[in-house]
Amino acid sequence: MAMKPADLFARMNTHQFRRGATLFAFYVVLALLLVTLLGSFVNPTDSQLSAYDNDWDDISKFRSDLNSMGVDTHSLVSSPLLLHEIKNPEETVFIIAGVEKDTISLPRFTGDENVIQMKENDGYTTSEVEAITSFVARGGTIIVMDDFGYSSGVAEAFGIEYSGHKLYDAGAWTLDYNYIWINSSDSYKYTSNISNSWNHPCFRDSDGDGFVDLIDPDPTHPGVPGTMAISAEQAGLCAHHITGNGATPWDFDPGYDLLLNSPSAFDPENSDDEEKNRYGLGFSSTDSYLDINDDGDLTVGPAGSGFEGDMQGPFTVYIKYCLSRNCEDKTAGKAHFISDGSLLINSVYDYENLYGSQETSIDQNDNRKWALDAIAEAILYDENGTLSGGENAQVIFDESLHQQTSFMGDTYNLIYYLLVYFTSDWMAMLLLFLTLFIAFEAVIIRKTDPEPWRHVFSIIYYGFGDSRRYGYYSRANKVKQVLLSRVRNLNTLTRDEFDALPARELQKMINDPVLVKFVFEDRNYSLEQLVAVVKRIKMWGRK
Amino acid sequence: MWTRKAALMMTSGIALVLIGMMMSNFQLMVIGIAFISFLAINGWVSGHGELHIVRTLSADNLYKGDDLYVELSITNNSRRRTQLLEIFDNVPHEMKMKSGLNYMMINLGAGQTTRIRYVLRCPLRGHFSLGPVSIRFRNTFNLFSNEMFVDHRSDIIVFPQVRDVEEAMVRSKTPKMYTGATTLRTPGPGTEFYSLREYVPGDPFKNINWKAFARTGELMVNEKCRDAVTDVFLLLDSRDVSRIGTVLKNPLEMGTIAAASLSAYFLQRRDSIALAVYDDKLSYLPADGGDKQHFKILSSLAGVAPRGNMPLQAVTNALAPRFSRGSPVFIISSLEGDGTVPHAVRDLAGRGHEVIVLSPSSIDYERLVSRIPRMSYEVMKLERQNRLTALAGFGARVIDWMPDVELSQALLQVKMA
Repeated sequence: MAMKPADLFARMNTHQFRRGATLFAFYVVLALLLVTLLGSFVNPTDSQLSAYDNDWDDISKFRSDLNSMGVDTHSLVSSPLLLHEIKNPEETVFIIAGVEKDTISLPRFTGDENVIQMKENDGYTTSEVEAITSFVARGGTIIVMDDFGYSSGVAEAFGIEYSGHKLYDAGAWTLDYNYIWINSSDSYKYTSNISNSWNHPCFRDSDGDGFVDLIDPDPTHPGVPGTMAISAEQAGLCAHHITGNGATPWDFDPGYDLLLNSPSAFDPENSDDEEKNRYGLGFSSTDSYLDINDDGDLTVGPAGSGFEGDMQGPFTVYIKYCLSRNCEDKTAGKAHFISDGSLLINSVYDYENLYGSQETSIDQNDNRKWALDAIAEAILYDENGTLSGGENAQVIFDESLHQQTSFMGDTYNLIYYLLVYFTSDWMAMLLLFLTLFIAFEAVIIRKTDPEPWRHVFSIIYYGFGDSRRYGYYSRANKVKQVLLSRVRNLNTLTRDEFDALPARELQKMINDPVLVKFVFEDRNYSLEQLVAVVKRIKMWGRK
Repeated sequence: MWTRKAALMMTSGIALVLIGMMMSNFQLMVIGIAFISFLAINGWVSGHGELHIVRTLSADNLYKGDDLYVELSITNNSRRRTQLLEIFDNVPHEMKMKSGLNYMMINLGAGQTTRIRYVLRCPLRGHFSLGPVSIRFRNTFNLFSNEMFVDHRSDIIVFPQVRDVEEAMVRSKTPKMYTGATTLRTPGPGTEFYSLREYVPGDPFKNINWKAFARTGELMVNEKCRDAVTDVFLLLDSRDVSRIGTVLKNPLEMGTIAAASLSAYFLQRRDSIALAVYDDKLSYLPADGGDKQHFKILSSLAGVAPRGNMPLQAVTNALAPRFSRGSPVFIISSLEGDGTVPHAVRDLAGRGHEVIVLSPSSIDYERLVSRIPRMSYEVMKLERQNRLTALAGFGARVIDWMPDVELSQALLQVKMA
């Protein structure tokens, strides 16, 4: 049977329907919020600079090279705070390749006169930066490749500052203006013209026999072992130095031709500083300029004109920081900063192959050699007669601030990050302690066990009365009214008859001087007097 | 449902894991995970309430103060053990456990049956329901509990007490055509003596009072009260104000006892009884006789509850067409907070009804629960006496029923008046 509109409206007006509709609306809004929230963590766009994707702009080839050289690789998806947990930092390299997003953080205790720092820098939190610097201080090596990203906090911790502007180089480009060459004849000259490459395990050949010292049976005798013949397995982490050329089978060249893609540069005022063991090892050409006004073009601003022009190079694009002077202590921490996040992307790193939709061939470059040399320098610190890394050698790629393509990948990362953050950061730990304490209190206070069942007979406790009227019945006027009603009733008079009664008649009816006085005198009575009057009224009724 | 122990264990487990992570202490984390795992494993074991339950009562209807015998038969019809279950038969709080327990812990195997027996005393009239049966499973470590219900209910009615009313204190002036045997206060054929009068021709000789003739020298005959039937109307005040006092002793409770007793008495005499209960509305049971009417009246009285504030005059006005001419009308009321009572009584008396006002003294009931200042109490009593005097002045016979006075004794006040 069809429902009439009036019935429909009546039904819609019921409490039950409205409650159901409200509940439905609540759950719809809740679902929308959840979908929106989770949806924000599912990024449909391609990620880049990931060690675990194989696109042209990822760095998976570098990772697979490391694996083939016997180095364990890991990814850190939660937070660099976990670097505190690494037991052998001197055999560990932490790689930050492009930082794409900010992270969640809480205000933190500064330990100085500011007491608390409410706002954190973009990118890594201060606790994370401290974890990274601590890692370096304990002998770890980091390689930071970023241009305009969020890793400035890490750089600042080492006294370096990104300029934040794009670098153009008219004197050393290839393919197009985005690809810039950085040529270095010797990247191991730190404070003098004398190269320190002798300290690098892949370069050190004391007797000049072509065998690097670590695998030379007698590093001091050129005749031993004789003919230069090193297999890739023997070469281990220095296998990329095998040229395959019979005349020069081993590459001893300490220079690198690095090909950068859309790089930035470090701020000239906060870049290399030899006194602080920050060595600028890679520079743009003198024809380079930094696009200070970000107009994408070279702009010349005459001095004093008030017009902001672009800066002329050269600029530092590669800085190496060592805890020890001239990086002589092999076990001391090192930090490599390159102002280009795409230095090791597959298309540039593995220039011999084309990846995905890549159509343009990339020029031969030394990016691979540079990266693997940096890894070898970090891991091969031990004079153990081999060029292979120890069993604890590892390279960790930071994926915590990369967008994830897998479904709920970022949600997983966020949860993992929160777990690590709340068990590592002091402020977060304090909050967590407080939360746990409150949770405990809440459980103790609010959570009750099921009541033991027993029958309770409880009617004897009920009772009703109206105590508000007691005061009214102790007023003189009320007592007077009761007395007059009594007089009227006992004399069987109606109200009208009683009202019309002369005063003398009424006095005669009452026939009691005290009560007559009580009725006719308008004055205040004490409690005792009223009690006496009431007693008299009771007695009067019985007369 | 989690117990406090389980909640604490879970919180401790999580706290230990997190603190273990903070301190990089694996022992703490392992203990925390052990706590959580222990909870998880315990959560797998549960009992079940697939039981067949039958409740047997000794009576469905009983009088206030009587005992009720209850037997609960519980059978596990499933093929597995129930695990440790608590069984609790929900009994109204107004009932007192006289013997036995309505609670048992059982662990029944497949097909097993057990019984719970207990005795309840019902000190309060009303409509009550026993049940449902609550079942609770607690696991061995008291970490989880699960409550279930078997919606098995048994309804009982507790009637107000019926007390003896020894004397017939009411006689209607108007006979009724059909049933009943109330003595009318008019001379006529009957058995009870009415008065002496002079002999007139036609009087049967058997009625001549020879002793009176010997004493006076004139022929005198005995006149008898006419035996006839009548309707008796009971008006019970169930307004909110009638709750003053304790639950067991208040004007309404005493009123229901009076109404039940009077109706039992008159119905036993084959009169017809009509009952009107007024609170926020008027509930009227038309006049009728017999056991069925008795049951109806008792059921109606069992369900009355104090509420509302309907004036008596509205009741008498509404019932005026239903009142049989000359029938006695009982008004059972504390007379508190109703200014229309004198007018209603005056109207009834004016229409020839014999009005008997049975008034439980609410002030004295109030004293049972509240400390009334002595002077206020005396003034209130005086005012109440004024009220009763006024009603007596309108032609009603008024009974001031004190809490410690039996109904039969109170009713004697009418006879003596």
